[in-house]
Amino acid sequence: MGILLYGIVNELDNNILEINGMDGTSKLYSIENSGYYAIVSDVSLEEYGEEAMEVKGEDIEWLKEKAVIFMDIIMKINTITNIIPMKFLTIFNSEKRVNDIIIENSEQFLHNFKRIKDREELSVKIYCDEKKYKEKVMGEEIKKFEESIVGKPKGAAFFLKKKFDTELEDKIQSRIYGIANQVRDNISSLAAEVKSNKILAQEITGISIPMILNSAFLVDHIKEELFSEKIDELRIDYESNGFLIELTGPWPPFSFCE
Amino acid sequence: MGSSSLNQSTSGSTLGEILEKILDKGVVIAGDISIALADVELLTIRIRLVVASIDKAKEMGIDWWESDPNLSSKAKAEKDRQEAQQKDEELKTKLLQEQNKLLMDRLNKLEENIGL
Repeated sequence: MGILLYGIVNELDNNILEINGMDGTSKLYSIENSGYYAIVSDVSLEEYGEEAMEVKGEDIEWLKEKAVIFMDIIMKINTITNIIPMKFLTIFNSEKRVNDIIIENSEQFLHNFKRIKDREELSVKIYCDEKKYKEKVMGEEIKKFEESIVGKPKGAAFFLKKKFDTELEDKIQSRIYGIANQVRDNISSLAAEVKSNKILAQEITGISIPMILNSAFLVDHIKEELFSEKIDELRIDYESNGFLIELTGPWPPFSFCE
Repeated sequence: MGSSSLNQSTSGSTLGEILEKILDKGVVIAGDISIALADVELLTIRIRLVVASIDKAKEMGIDWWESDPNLSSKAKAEKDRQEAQQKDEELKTKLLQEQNKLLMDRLNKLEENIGL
């Protein structure tokens, strides 16, 4: 048997021990050392052993299924108590090894628990339909320009148009990123910490317009509602101009534990 | 949040987000057993594409593999295996094309940024 580690908690609630592990049948259990509880479950080495892992990295269906279950388990624990979540597929050979890593990392755990106490991770992603923004916001400017080249010689009009289009494109880019940053700064005041995450490709998001901002916010429980209200307000301000503001969570504090 | 809500929404942006968090973030402690994962971004795209193609098939009413009892016979199994292999090849080609496109896009963007 291997031991798969989901995360560390500093208060053990019995409800955690009712949750099923990755295999769907064996329950989670804890390995305690100096006030820290490693939440683990047994996994078969046939499926999770060294040899199996060499091919599982290429087994897309398997990875997808397990990834979702793994996240689901940590999310369930997170609704019961604060958890320091581990990276996917952290597996050990013995309880002793888990015990050792608690001792080795206890200072880090202490620091992380201070950081995440009574807080949740919320994710905000902003997408922008640049075409729509252009129509809605720059329409007037475009119209004015088009009027200004009426009657001009063809060649001159062509170059003026080319120059105008390039400048307009730059202007749109700087404005939409400006708005995204403004939104982030605006909601940051309600968060204890903010982290900028990678912009995800459209192939990952599955959303037809590009992502322009991806940030994680560590928010006090008591401010969560305020945070989500603020997002609603910002939606009213910006969504008609082609922005899509997506709020997800609460997530386990994956972005705020190191 | 219960498991059902998660499982229902694992296509699209939620799955992307789950993968982003658990593959790219979380506390890193060297375990005894490790898995060799490719580039997280490309892996996420591959996982999403597989999910999308299954969803698409179901959308089109192609879900025979879930109900047809004949499919369990040995002969069928062999045929399926071959078909699956072919499908896998096709998917791999598609994935490669997708990856290629993504890389080209990125390259183009990079070139744009450095003013080539």
